[in-house]
Amino acid sequence: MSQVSPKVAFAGSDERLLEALVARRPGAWLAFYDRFAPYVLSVLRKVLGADAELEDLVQEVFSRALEGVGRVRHADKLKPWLRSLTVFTARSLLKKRRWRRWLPFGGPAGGSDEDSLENSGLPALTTSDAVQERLVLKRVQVVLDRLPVDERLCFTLRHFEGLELTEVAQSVGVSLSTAKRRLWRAEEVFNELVKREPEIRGWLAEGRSFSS
Amino acid sequence: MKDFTKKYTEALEKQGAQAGKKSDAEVLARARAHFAEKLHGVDTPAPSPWRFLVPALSAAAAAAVVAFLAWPETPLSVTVRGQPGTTADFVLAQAGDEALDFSDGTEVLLRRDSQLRVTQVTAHGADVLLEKGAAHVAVVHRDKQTRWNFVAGPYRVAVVGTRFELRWNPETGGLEVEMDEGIVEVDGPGLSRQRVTTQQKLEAFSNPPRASLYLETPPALADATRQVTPPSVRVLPKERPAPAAAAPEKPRAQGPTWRYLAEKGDAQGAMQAADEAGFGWLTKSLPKADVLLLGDTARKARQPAYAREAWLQVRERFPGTRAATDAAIRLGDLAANVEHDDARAVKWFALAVKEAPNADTAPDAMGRWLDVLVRARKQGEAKQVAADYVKRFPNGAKVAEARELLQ
Repeated sequence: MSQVSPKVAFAGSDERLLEALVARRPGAWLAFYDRFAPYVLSVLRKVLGADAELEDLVQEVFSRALEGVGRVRHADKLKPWLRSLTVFTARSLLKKRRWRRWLPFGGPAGGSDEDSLENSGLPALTTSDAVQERLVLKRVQVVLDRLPVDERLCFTLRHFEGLELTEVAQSVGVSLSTAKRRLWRAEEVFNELVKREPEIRGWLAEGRSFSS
Repeated sequence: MKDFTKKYTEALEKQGAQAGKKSDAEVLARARAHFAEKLHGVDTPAPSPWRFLVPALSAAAAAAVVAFLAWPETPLSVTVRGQPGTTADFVLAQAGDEALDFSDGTEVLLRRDSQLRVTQVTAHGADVLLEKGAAHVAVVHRDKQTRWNFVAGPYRVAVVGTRFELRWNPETGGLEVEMDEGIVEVDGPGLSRQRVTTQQKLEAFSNPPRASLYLETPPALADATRQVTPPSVRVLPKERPAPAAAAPEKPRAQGPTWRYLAEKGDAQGAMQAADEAGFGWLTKSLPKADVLLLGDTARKARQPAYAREAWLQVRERFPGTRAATDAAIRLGDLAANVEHDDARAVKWFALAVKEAPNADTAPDAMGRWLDVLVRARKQGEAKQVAADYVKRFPNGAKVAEARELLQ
C-alpha cells in the first residue's frame, strides 16, 4: 500500500539540456542519462545481441560522453553524436574479442559463459536453449560474429536498428559510399551463411533475403 | 525481411526480460549508479568566461540565470518499483518486499511486514522514517553534499554513501544496523555519532540504553577498534558468542548473519540464515568474494544446487575477473566430485585454464583437469594435457604424474 504522487524529472528541451551539460550544472548529467540511456541500451542490444556486458557498455558510453560533450554544437546533434559514441564503444568491444580469439589462450570470445561454452564446443549450462526463439537469437549471433566487425555494424544498424543509409554512415564515421559497400558485402555474407541455418531460414519468408 | 527484423528485435527485447537475465530497468539502474559515482567533481559549475564582463547585461538575462540556477535544487524523485511514474511517501510492504528507487540510483528495499515514510526529499538525499521492520539500503554517493538520514524510533542513522540493512522493532525498542560496506553514524539512547563500518553490526536497545557492536573482522582489527570505541559500546570479536543473543529484549527478527555463521563453521546455520535473507537476492547483490563464500558454504552444507547457483552468479556478474576463474574451478570440482559428471568437469577446468593461462590458478586447474581425464580413461586427451602441463609448469605439483603418463 503506498500513497503516490507524480515523478519529478527534467522535462526541458534538448537545447536546455545541452546548455546545462556544457555548463556542468549539477544533475544535468543524470538527466541526460535518464533521457538517453534506454536508447543507448537499445542500440547496443541491436548491434551486440543479448550480451553480458551491456551494463558496462552503457556506463562506458556515458563516461565517454562526459569527455566529448563540448564538441556538440547543436542540440539536434546530441542523439546522433551519442549513437556514434555507442557504435564506437560496441566496435571496440567486438574488435577486442576478435583479437582475443587469435591469442592461443585468449579469454572467451563471446559475451556470456553460455555463448563461450557453446562456441568452444562445451555443453550448454541450461536446458532452456531448446526454446526455438532463443535458438534463432543464438544462431543469428553466431552468424553476426562471423561478419567483419565494420560490416556487422553497418548491417545491424541498417536492418535491426532501422537507420537510413546516411545515418548508418554517420554513425560508423565513414562516407556514404563506403557504408553502402560494407552493407552490401555484409548482406551477401549474411544471406550466404543463413542458408546453412535452418532455424533462421524458418523465420525468413520463403525465398527472401536481406538487401537494402 | 521486415517480418524477420520485427520478430528478431522483439525476441531480443523479450530475452532481456526473461527470468535469470537482468531486465532493462535493472541494467540501466546499475549502470546509472556507477555513472553517478563517476560524476563526482564533474557536474560542478565551471568558472564562467563571462565573469569579468559588465555585471548587468540585462535584467532579463539575470532572471533567466536565476531561473536556471534553480535546477540543482530540484529534489530527487522516488518511485515504488513496479509502479512507474509514482513516488512513495508511505510504504507498507504487506505481501512481500517493496523496492523504492530514488532518481540518483539510491535503492531502499523494504522487507515484508515493514513500513516506512519518506519524510523529506532534497536534491542531495532524503529523510526516511522506518516505522517498523527492516530495510536494506544502498545509497549512491554523488558528491560531498549527499545527505541521507534514516530514523528509527529514537535513533538516527546518518549516511553518506553505503549499503546496509536497518532493522527496528518498536515493541522492544531494538535497533540493528548491519553494514555491507561504507560508514554510517548512529545517534540515539546511549550512542553519540557511533560509527558503524564495513562488516560491522550494531545492536542497540533504547530502554535501558545499551548497545553492542559486532565486528566480523579478524581479532587484530577488533583490538585496534576497541581503543576508539566509546565505553557504552562493547566490541566483540566474531569468535565470541554474541551476548545480545541471550538478552530477553532481542527482537525476534534478529539473528546472526549467514556470514557470521559461515565463518564460525556452522554451514547449515549459515545456509538457513541465507535462505531467510533470500539466497537468490544475496547472490545477485553481494560482492564477489562473498558470493564465492556463499557457494563454498552451500557446498559444505551439502547443498550442491545452491553452490552451483552462487558460482554461476559470480561468473555472470563478474566476467573476466579472478573470482570468475575461481568459480569455474569450483564448478569443475563440484561436477567431478559431487555430480560425477566428468565431461562437464573437464570443460570447466579447461575454461579456467583458457581464461587465465598465466594466473596462479592455472597449474591447479590444469592438474584437476588431468586428474579427471585420467579417471575417465581418456588416454589421448590426458596425454595432451600432460604434455602441455609439463611444458608450462615444469615445477608443478602434478609434473611427476604427468611425466609418468607420457612414458
